[in-house]
Amino acid sequence: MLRREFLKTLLAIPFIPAISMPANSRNAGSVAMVIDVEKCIGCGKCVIACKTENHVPMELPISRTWIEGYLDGRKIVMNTNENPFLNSKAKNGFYVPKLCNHCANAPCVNVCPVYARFHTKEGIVLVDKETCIGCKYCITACPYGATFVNPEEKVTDKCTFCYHRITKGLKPACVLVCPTGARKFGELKEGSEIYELLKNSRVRVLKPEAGTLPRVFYINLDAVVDL
Amino acid sequence: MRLTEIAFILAMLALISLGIFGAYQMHFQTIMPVEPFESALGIPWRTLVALYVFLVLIGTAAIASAAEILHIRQLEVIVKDAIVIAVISIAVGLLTIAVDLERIERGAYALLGHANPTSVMYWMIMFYVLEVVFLVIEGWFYFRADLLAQSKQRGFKGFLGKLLSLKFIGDFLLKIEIVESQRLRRLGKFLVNPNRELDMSFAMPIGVVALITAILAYSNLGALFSAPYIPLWHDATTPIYFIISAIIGGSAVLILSAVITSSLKGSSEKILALPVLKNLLAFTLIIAILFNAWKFIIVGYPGVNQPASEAVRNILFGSYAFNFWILELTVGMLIPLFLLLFAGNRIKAIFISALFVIIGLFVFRIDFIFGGQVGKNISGISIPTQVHPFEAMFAIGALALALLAYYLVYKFLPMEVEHAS
Ligand code: SF4
Ligand code: SF4
Repeated sequence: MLRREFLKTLLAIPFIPAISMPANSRNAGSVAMVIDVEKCIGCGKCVIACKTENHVPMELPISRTWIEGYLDGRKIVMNTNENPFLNSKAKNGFYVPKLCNHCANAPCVNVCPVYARFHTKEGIVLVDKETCIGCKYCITACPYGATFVNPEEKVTDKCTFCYHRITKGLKPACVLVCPTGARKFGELKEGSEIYELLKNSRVRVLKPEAGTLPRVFYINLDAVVDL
Repeated sequence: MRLTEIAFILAMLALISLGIFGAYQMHFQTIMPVEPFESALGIPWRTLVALYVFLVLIGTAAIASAAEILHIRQLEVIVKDAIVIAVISIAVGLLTIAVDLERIERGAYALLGHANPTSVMYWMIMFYVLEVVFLVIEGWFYFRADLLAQSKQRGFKGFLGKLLSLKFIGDFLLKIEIVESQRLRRLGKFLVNPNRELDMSFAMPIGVVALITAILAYSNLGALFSAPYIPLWHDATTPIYFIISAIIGGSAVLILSAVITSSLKGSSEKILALPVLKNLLAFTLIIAILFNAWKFIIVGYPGVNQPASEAVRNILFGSYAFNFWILELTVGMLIPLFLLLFAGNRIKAIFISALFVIIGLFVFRIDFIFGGQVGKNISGISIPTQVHPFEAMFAIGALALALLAYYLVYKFLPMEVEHAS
């Protein structure tokens, strides 16, 4: 008897911890960003604005958004306030601004052991900085290298589409400062600016083979580069 | 206590202090002086993750349980060692991965309250914690009779015997008058009287559960890596390979412990286990060599998956080539296999094979973790080439902690074979 009860208790142990599991939302969402690669001039104002707005250490090579310059076939990255493109003597090239893609099927959300990543009702992927334990699985899982550890906060960090701004009806900082209007942000509904842009342009998402269903769309990006 | 023992303890304590210093520096120094080792500045998983994989894949737990369940008589002499080594290596492994967390203080979230059951990492932590729990219970039944015998001794050892056998609870239950419940009295009697047959009848089913949990834990760890995010790791065979790898690690460490403890204690009982462990090691090494060869051919086949084949090329011909060809393959697999197959039952040869296997395994863990992530084309992320000094300090400290814990167990618990038989 003693033995049977003991074994029963033992077998129940694995089921104890599955407490308070928030529902994993894979929200269809309504917002998106569209980036026109032809319009980006690699000025890097978005990088500086983002780091300032979101308190990411300016001098460290980590950033919620960064610019990749494909200059004469070489990839150069700008992720601090120093612009490496200014000294470039390259004859050909183009710039690809990058950020978190707010994937509808986000690997980072799926792998997080503590539900520190989640989708908002708008479909934006956010990090709950009070919960993140800093295991860095999300960094390994993200196909875009879009997330990193903020060394000051000691939790992972990434683009939020400036959630604190857009919920007040403001534009994300990067969209606001872009001098050429290469970045557009808004609701993805019929008749909206980005809806029309996407309808009438050649559209690509990054690494479609990863199956992440990105919410950041690129137009006029047709070069065969390792993205 | 002999002078050499004191020197050993002091050396281990010094190395553990070095580890604590390294861990402290990792957490409280935001800007790294040599090479940044944090994510985005480097790669997210580095030395501590490699050390964790190394430690938790020392699969002595599975060998202990299998020996018990299958009544492999030659291995029964090392079951106690296997259980103790498994508990220590998993516990130190979990400590290592906790230190790797940016927010150690929130580590409990991973188990309670905020658990995400769709995350392989959640299950990894869960399986390993459960494994420790089951091993401790299994070990308790295994050690109980000997602990009760030890409780009759004087001094610290006697006290430890009473404490760990829970005899003090049994005494209490039998002494106090108010206990009228027959069940409690029965429990009290059970706790004070050795009954090896009954203990084994408990230990056996727990051994089965522990074995299943161990296999789940090893393969789940493989699944964590083989998810499609890192091309080099993405491979459905990785979970199986991790099980094989755990058996290799477990049998090699058991050989080392059997030879070392036998020569220190001047007894030869544990040497009886060497032929079985030797065959197990040789057999699993052959499978591992085949696994490696096929993995590299399949994952790295040119033109199939470019990032994966680049990562494989980097390991075979690039910055990890020396580690792979010399340390992993020649030292870690081929020489040991040759010795195991052709040197008969010579203890020295078996010991050297096991030592070489452990060196190879450690290098393999480093190459697997670092080399895998190098292959992932993360924009703006630097390629790590070196182990950060603070990480190295912690790793040395963690290994010293494991050694010291093993030594203390040997010193104060009834590890002798005579008791187990
Ligand atoms: S881009 Fe990366 S960080 Fe952003 S949602 Fe997708 S997986 Fe997560
Ligand atoms: S680092 Fe934080 S957000 Fe990322 S997987 Fe771990 S707990 Fe989740």
